[in-house]
Amino acid sequence: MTSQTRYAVFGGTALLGAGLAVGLAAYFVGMPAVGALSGAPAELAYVPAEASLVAFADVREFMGSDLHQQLRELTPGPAAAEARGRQWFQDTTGIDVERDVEYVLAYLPAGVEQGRHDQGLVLVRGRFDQPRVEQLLERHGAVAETYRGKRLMVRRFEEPGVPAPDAGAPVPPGAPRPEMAVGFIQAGLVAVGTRAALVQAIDLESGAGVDITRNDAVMALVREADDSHAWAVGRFDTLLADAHVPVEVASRLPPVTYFAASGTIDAGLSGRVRMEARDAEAAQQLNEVVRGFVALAKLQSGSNPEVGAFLQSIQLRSEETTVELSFAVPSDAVRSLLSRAHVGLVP
Amino acid sequence: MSPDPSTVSASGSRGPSFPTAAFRVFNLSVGEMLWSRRTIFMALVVGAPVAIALLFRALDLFGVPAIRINRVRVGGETIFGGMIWLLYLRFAVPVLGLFYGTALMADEIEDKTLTYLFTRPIRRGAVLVGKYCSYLTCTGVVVLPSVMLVYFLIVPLGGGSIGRAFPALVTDLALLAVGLASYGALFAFVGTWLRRPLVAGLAFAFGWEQLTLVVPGYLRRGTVAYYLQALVPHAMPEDSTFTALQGLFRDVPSVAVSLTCLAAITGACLWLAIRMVERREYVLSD
Repeated sequence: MTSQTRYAVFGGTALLGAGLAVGLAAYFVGMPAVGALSGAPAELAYVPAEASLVAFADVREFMGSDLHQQLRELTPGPAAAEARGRQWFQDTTGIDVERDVEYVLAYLPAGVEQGRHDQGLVLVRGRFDQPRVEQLLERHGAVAETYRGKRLMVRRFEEPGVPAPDAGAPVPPGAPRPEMAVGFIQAGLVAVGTRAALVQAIDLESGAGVDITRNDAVMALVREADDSHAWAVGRFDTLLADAHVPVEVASRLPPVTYFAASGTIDAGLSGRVRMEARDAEAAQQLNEVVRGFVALAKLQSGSNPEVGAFLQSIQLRSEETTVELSFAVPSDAVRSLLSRAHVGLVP
Repeated sequence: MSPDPSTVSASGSRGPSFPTAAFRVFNLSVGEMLWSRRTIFMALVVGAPVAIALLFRALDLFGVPAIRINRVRVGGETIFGGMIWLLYLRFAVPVLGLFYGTALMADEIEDKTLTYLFTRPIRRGAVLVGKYCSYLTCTGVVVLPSVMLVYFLIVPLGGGSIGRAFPALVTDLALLAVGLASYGALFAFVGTWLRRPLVAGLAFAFGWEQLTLVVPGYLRRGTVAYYLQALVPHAMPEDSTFTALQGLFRDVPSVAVSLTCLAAITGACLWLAIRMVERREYVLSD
């Protein structure tokens, strides 16, 4: 075998070996979405595929936006109260929401039980003083436990001597106990939700189960919204079923399968709502209904130029099974709207 | 017991053992095989999926989804599974097995260099085994890295995860190695048996195998593809009416049965090829 042949064989083998080593590391170390989501938050890998609603908010972008500054200037009273609340939270937990929190991702599972609001999971990315937060939770009755090497703080509310959060609605025998769990499941990533949701997130990270990044329909909507500062994507029919809407009402609603809402905040405000109808005919019906509402709103806004400017910016687009509504409000119009709203609120 | 006459040199000393002889032939022929014109063809066959993967990646960079079905973007893992099934298992592996397997001895006959190998004090079967190992090495070091490149280019598209899809990748690589070994052994036998092996091989790979897979009954058990498709970890895409028909008549053997049958096909074909090479009288005409 010549040296040229040897180099070729070793080169091919080395390329294969290097690829296998990287893949193996990604599999075991838990890099579920390294370079995979192209802009979408990597924390989607903690969301189960069957989630009915996923929402994201870029807290840092919002806090640093001109719109937030304008809001503070226009509403000095509520802004001062908000600052006091933030300071109290920082003193208690060591977390400065404005500086330490980067973004928040939350989801709601399908089949949420009626009357229960403690399901789902909120994932917060940022800088946290883990020991301090854990000590605080322990002082408030949380019990530490470990699952797959991750430390969870679990607080069950109806333990003896601890009042249930909703005293008016006694928990029936055998019903799941209201609880709250907090887990630092990665450096700089805290998850808040039920113990079961945290356990599921950790399982998903370990490769057990199917996460939402495998749901192509949802991911297609997420990818179209991932350049926004806030977005929500969900299954409309599942949410409707979970909301226990009366059949008479549900049957009159347009047959929407998925929806996505996204917004971008800088000097102005822009947003987009996209709905995926069951078929082209349903999309056409939905388009006509929305167009009718927009026309009605424009008629009503004759004496209000700021609202009129906002309504004029609304664009409605329909393509096959999709209906998309978008708007863009310039900073001056936003400021006028906010000041008008503030004047309306202050007696 | 007298030694095998083919392994006794002119000076009367015994030649190397079968494995040593096969290794020496392997050492000699791997370079010849790797730098032959046939490698250009192999590079084109396995380069096409890499080029497609690069195209998909470029489209993704410009925000254009590579594949949409019913207006829903198809994820990278699904695309990768489809590429493995359609481009590699259904095309590249049989084609490479055919072109290299049938040429193991045919090249030596065509170049009239077979005499130099057969006059050596080694068993003729060792020549075939050595060349078969060269084929496996050459195709392995070109095909498998190509799959690796496609994996890293395609899987991350649309939210796919390199870590999560890793077990499927390992299965795919093993599957391709098994496929190359099985088709290589089969066509090595065809190459030593028939005078026009390429035509017969093409008829088998793209005629018989395609046809029997869509016909209900036991005929499909006489193909390599039937056992290979049972090992595919991805859902097979219904790319054509043929695959849709396959779905109607699908009876998939278990993994154990498939592996056993593929090992049996490989072993039996290699053994038959060795017997054929050792018994056949080759006439190197002008």
